Amino acid sequence: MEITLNHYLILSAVLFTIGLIGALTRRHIIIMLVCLEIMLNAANLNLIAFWHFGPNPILLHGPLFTLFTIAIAATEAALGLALVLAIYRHFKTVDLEQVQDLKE
Amino acid sequence: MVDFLFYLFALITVLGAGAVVLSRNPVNAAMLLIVSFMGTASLFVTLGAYFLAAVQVAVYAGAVIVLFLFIIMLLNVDAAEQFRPDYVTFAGGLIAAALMILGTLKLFERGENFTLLTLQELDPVGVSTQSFGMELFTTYMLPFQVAGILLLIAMLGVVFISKRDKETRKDAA
Amino acid sequence: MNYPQLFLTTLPELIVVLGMFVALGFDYTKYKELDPQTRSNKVAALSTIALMLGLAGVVWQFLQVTDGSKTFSNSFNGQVVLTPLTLWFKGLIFVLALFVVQFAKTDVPNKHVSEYFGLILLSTLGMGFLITAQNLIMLFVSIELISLSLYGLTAFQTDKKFSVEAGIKYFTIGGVSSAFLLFGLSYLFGATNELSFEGITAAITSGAAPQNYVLIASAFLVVGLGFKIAAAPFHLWAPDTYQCGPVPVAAWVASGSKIASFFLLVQLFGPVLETSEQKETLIAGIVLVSVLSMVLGNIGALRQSCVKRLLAYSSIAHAGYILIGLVAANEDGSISVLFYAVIYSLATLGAFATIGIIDSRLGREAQIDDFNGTWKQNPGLSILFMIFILSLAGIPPLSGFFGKFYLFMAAIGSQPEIASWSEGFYWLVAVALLMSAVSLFYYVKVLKAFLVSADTPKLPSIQITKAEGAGLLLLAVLVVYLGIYPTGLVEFIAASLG
Repeated sequence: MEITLNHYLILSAVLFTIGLIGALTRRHIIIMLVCLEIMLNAANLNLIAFWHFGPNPILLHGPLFTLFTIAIAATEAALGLALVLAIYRHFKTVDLEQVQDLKE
Repeated sequence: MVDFLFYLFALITVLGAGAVVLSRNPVNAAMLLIVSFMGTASLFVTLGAYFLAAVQVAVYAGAVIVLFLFIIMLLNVDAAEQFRPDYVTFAGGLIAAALMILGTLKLFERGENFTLLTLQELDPVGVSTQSFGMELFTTYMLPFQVAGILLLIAMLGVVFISKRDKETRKDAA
Repeated sequence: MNYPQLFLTTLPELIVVLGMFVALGFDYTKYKELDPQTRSNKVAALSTIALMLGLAGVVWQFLQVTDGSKTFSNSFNGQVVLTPLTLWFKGLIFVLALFVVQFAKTDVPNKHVSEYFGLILLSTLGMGFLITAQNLIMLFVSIELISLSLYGLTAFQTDKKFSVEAGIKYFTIGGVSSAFLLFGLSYLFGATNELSFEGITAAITSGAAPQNYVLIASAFLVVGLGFKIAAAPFHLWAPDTYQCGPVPVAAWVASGSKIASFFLLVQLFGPVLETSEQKETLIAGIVLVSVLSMVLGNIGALRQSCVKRLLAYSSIAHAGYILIGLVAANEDGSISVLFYAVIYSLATLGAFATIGIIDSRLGREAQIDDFNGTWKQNPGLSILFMIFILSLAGIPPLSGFFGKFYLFMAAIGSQPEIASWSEGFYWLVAVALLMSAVSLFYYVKVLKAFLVSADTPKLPSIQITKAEGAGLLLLAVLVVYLGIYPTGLVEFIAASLG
């Protein structure tokens, strides 16, 4: 079977879902951040695939967008990890389930 | 050949990501993320985005994951934290997954404005790194500058969030 | 490239960034030895000057554009567009930021003074860019600019457990929402093969874009932006963030970022909702989100005793009301959404600022019964707070009433041929009216606490600074003015949208 756009789209949807399940179910903050990276990465794959199969790949829209999202994902990870440090200082854990002191 | 490579890389990517979600140890998760991202980088190559494949490897494997590992080592959390999913959120995740897959299946009807039906090689001049840089510093100069401000925010944020003030240190001691 | 043009286009932003660097530089060197409060006053003064100069830049651009000048057309190759409407909203963001800086300076959470104001200034830039953005890349970068600075600001009191906890919750939920947004944007790009709003709108209205892609994209965008505007069921971060972040930051999250997000919603969804074949499905989805927000927000607010948390739930409910204007899917709807976003943020900023003042004098979070007898001790502050709360409740003649009126009329008027209760949006408006009635319970509960005279008022007589007083007074005047004379703003928005 020839590889078409749909192959890539389904792959990225699967990747996004894996990341989403991880981000929703894992309570370890660092693993959650890793899952966030997977979700963003799935979107990158989408962008590149749409660009490749689109009518005018010469315009480089997809890769440029992806370049920005990679940079943004990196800054997000940096800020998230700083927050993890702060959380660890107060709660002595990185388990989100135990970081629930706020009352309803 | 390309078919086989696609399935190989896709398998690496998905298995890597799946292993990340199921891994108990954050160090393993971070290392497995590299595997998954290597798979994606290879997929980028199959799509003709060579420069981005390189960026993906350099930024993620080279910088982001190192940062993750650094923090994990710094915290030195007990690695054997348990994977005990909360069943409500897990059910929510599964529902979301089902919706995603249904939605994607709906996409099988192809849009008319996709000219390339199968993978093929792109004009190497058009996708060269040079034209990439040209676009980045002309059309997309403003977002580029704003991304610079974004890095500044990350820097400011990280400095004050992770910095230990003298008072808190005294409390801790 | 035409460098002078680029320079003039980003003039306000350049001034603000420069001001931020000056403030940072002075704070790290010259002010280093001073005590935090003095530093805070000095840095706030510098930030105020920067924002005012920036605002002057925006006003200058506004005058140029309304005069028909072509200086700013197509600068940065369509990354940003400066029209009277976008410039007006950008100016509004700068004005709100000025208020926030005044409210923030009396009670800086810790000694990182310049970072605090720096992040407020940078988030202002992000909101301004988001409003003027005309390109998906610019859009995503500015949204992240806003989000990252707000995550940092929420977790600013790093020595307090709750602040950090609220920060990490905001961050994780916001991160997931960004991923949803990006995934949606990638489908939007795939469907239209364009990054500019203009191209996307053209592709969607001409029908060139595959409908199922547009639908998927919109679904993801609703989820992603639903998080940003704190609509249910994506609202879980809002109560904690509003309650535990510094109060001026909560005010800023509730006002500035809301305006920017709703502006984006109108811009992105306007064309999709008006022309797409999948209109029905999409509208059904947004109606669901709207009803859920109204119900969960208002019911949730009923059982709160902490005033900030109550306002957080009320903001969820307001997101629901505003979405009613969006489902109308016509120009009236867009006008009413923008109008309501403006007056809602003015009133909510005022309410949060008042609570911030009370909190800082109490030294802890204000509960509703802390307000007992405030009327006698602080009549001025009470009157201002009442104006904000009554406007949020939608009591005529305050602006909140007209905002809701326009939203509901737009929804009903969108299907003029339907006259029965079971069809059209009559039932939606009925739900909204019912929920507004419910909301009266908790607003009145707060007001009653102000008015009843307690034997021992818990609040001492409060001295407010000149800047705070002037800010609150100005906000209250705006809220009242827009209630008495709403047509001016509405007509301006209508004229610029058309």
